[in-house]
Amino acid sequence: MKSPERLPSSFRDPSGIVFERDGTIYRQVNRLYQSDYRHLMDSGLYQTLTEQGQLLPHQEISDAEGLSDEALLVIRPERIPFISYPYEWSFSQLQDAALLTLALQERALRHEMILKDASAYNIQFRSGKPVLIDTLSFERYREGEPWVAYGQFCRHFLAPLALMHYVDIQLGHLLRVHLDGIPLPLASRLLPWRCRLRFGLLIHIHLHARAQLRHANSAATPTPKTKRLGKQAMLALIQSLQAAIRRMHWRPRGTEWAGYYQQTNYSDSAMTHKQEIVRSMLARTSDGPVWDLGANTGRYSRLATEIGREVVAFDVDPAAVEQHYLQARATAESSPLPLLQDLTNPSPALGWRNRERDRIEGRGRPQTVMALALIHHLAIANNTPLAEIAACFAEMAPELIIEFVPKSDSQVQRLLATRRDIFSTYNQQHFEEVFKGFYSIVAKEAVHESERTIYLMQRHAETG
Amino acid sequence: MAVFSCNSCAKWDSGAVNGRQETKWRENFKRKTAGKAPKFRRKGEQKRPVIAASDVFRKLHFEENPGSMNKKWSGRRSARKEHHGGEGTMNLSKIIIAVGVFFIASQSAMAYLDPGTGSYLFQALIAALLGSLLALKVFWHRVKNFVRAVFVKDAPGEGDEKS
Repeated sequence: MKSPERLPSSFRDPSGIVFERDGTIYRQVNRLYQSDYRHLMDSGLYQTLTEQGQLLPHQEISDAEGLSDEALLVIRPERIPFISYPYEWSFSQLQDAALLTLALQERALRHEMILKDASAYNIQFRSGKPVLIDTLSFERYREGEPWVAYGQFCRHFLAPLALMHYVDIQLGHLLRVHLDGIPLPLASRLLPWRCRLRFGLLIHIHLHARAQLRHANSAATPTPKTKRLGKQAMLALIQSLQAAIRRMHWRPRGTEWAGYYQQTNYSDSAMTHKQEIVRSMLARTSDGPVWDLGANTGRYSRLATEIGREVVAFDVDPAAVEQHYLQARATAESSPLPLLQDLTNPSPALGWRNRERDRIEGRGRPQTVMALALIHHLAIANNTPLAEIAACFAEMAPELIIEFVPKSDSQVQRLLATRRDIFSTYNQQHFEEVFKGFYSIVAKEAVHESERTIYLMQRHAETG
Repeated sequence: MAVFSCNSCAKWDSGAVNGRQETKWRENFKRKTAGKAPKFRRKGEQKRPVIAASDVFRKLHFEENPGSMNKKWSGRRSARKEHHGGEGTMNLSKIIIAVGVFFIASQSAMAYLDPGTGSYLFQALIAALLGSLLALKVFWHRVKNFVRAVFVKDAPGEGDEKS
């Protein structure tokens, strides 16, 4: 039995500690949080929120030992298949997480509680829907006190959404640089002038940013008069934020992959055949999580969820991830988790001591990796040697379903159209030789009416 | 160390300014300016071989205290005090402090912003405004419903909307 370990991201909140013991995540509730925890459980708020799927349910573990002597009790929250971060979400994922945070705040107020933080990292996705994972985020509402997390909400949600909506979808990446949300003065400078005409953005971003700058160096403490904020005023503030967030939207158009399935050289029968091959190969793999790399809108990821596998579907294109998420949200039960990820520059370890936010591979180990119609992008567009690609996949998972796309394929020809062909070793024979260094080939099947071949591979025992 | 001085100052008379021996032009300068309004460069006057900054400080002092060159400092306690511990010296330190504060303050504003206070105060202000707007909206709905109830048959009554 391994000794329990505190999660590196759990150090700010004095109300409790999140720790891992024997692969299970527990949350220690400290004595400091006792009255808030009791109110959360007894006021009916916990029940309402968990029934509606807005808060992650937990079990109280009566005989579990806490991690420190401040422990009041230990709870075991339901498992989240894969932890994702806001800089890996599409526009609608961030928007839904924002609306959930406001809905939670509104609901909590009805039960005389309030959210003491509004961090986007407290929201995770489960079965295509956002859910709050931090049970200790609620505290007793004291009439007249402002919402301490108002500034954090604007930085974590409103500013990035506004930048993605008004400037460019890629500005969502700013969240990876600013882990505690995009500073409002920065957002205010980057946003176009016309968004000042939107009342919600004018006050919550532009005027808010000015107020922050004005008081940046002031040691003035709020007077009792300015501190006073009634419940009605608080509800009005929440409604105003909700309206500002609902007004924003993003329709992907003109992006790299948005019309990919219309542009491929696959005929309908080839597409159907490819699906059959992938389905049969997936059936031959062992149970466990599946990572679909370069998943596009998730056509093949869904084949894995159909057989009950947990799937994380990565893609570099925000339009593809957005479309995939919208589909996953509509189908509700057992859908893949679509995430934005650039394989050539994956999410690193970030934050305090480089441990607060984990790198992508630190957050889970898949059993199977799918890399369909991906290898030419890595080998040709990114000049990555085949051996490097094989080593990377072998490090990730013991099983691999991979599609080889030859040079004669029209998609590869497109990539080569504007560059010198320096890829003399990029051919199927060399591909097999290199991958045999890491894997044994279990199955191999050519896709009808196409020049592509799909392989099922098993990692050698000594590798990885 | 005398960074600032005038012709009636003891340190000036001692001939040591910034630890240096008083030069000839200083003596000339003292003699020529005695009993006259202060002037620093005269036609044909020798270029002063002193640190430029001290000239600026001296000029500042004399502009602020016209006639101080004429004053006989000995026996005038208050004037001496004003001269040595007073405005002239204060102006200099004020400038230095102001410049220092400007640079330090502008650097800290770039490096670190504390959004807490701003958000806190701003929120109270804006929530009050939003609350009033909401109340106004509710009131307007009630007026509308009341008017509708009076003039239109089978319309929803005033009490139907209690949001």
